[in-house]
Amino acid sequence: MEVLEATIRVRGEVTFTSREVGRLADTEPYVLNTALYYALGLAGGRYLDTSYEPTYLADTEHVASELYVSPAAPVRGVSPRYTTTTYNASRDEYVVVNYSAQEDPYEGRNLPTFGRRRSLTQGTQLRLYVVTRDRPASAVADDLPTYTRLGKKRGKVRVDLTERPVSVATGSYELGHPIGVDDCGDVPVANVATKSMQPTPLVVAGKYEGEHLVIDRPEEAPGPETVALPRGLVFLGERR
Amino acid sequence: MTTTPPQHMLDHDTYPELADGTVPADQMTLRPQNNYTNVLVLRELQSHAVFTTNGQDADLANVAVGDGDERAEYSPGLMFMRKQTGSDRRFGKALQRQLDLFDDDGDECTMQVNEMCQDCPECILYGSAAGDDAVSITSRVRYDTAYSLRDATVVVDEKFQNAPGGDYAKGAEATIREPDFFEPGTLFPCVVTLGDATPAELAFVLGITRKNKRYGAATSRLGRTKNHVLGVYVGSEEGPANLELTRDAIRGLRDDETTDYETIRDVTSAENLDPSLVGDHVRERFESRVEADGLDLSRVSTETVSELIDTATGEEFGDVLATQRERSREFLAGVTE
Repeated sequence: MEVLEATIRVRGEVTFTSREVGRLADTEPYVLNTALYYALGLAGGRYLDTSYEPTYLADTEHVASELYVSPAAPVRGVSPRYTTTTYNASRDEYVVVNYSAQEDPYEGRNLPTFGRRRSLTQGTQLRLYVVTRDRPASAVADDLPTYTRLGKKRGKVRVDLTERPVSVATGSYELGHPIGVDDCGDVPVANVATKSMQPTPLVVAGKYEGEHLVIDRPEEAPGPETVALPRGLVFLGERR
Repeated sequence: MTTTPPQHMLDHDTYPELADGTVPADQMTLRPQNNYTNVLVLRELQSHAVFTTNGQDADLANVAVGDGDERAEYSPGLMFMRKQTGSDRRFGKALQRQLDLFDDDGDECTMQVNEMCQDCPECILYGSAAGDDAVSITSRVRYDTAYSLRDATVVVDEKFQNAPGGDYAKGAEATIREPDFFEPGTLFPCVVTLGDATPAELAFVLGITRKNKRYGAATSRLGRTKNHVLGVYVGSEEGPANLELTRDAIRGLRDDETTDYETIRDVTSAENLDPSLVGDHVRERFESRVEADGLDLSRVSTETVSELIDTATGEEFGDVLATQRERSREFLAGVTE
């Protein structure tokens, strides 16, 4: 079992609709692994959608036992940077009828043509871990892209990978990096903090008991010296 | 439907170079297959342009440029990705109308959300939200926010606007504004990436890039832009991001012996930059970064690129698009039935 530490550096704008307040959509500095499996090219996705049902389980069936990709969270010590932009989906006709609110024929339909969104912008760094099982980490690293796209508008990001030494330990430990609620069968014993997100909530902190991975990090790298993760992590493992 | 065969056949037999980054028109895929075509573009403003999100202030960022001995920060002006997509999409739709694509069936396509036809090459390539048929299509053209090479202090200027109307004002009115304008000569290095596109779709995007000349707000009066196509790269992954490219090009200009620039600040605060010199640096730096990052991308020959552009800007491109439309429809029908 080996571990790749990935740093995502935002290059353009990355927008997720984490929260909607009226016409404002806000982006939280977390990326669920439901998105990352696709962004890293580990799952397929479709160009054309007619069913509107997520297919995470089927799309990741072939890699779920082979490796685990954690959600991405802000790198400790580097605060996320935001930009707020106004979007305006203007039409291309030369003459446009501006209906009054009472007479608008599209009144009953949810067609947002303008609004504002707060996105993560360049300077933001997010961190994630890839736990490999059967394949060596270097082979997995060769398959992962250097540049990829994230979020609603496919913002460009750079992915930098570093191999980290990892050991297995037993006992009580503090969760070192957010994981999906359904990714692990172990139940935290104390100090639980979760973050409500769609489609799966995150466990961002918690005290656990049992077998776990201890990832060693060099002192000069930003972040903590060791990161502990539960041993039996499987992407959406509790739903499979 | 008239079926005059297109003069230039846009397929892998004619252009074997494209095989690595495109899919044959009769083999369009539902699921991504990692065929990428990266179009390297330098956007040059030829008149004043407005890129704001609140109608008043120019979009700016703070960017660190530096290597070893020299570190500097500058504030580039931004051309958000949607400012590029929106304009290119409208131009693409207009191009389809001009090429008589909708003549036979009157099946006009619009930019209105949820009312796109989802049936023309533009809709199927650039994607569209679910309409009445409850089909949604993911865009296979990806843009990226572009950063100006020079600092906002030199590329952005406030202009006083007064719209007093015919009458003398009787009270205070909101007719005076001072919006930020980007100066002519501002340069934005850009990469446009196509995923699993057909050669005809690539030609379509190249034609749009070559011919579209208006970006930003109030494009009927300003925002004239010249897009220089610097190169096309095909392979199994995406190329460097605009931010990296812009930083690298600034460093390249500083290191260039033929220029007077000695520091990063000399470049970012220059009175003007020569587009063809900048183009050379952007191209060179794109390629050296592809090499440094070990990306699987290879350059398409200049002859092929100019042939594709000639086809896409020529009269007979209507036939090519009509053929592509048949293929796109077959693909769509194959998936939805």
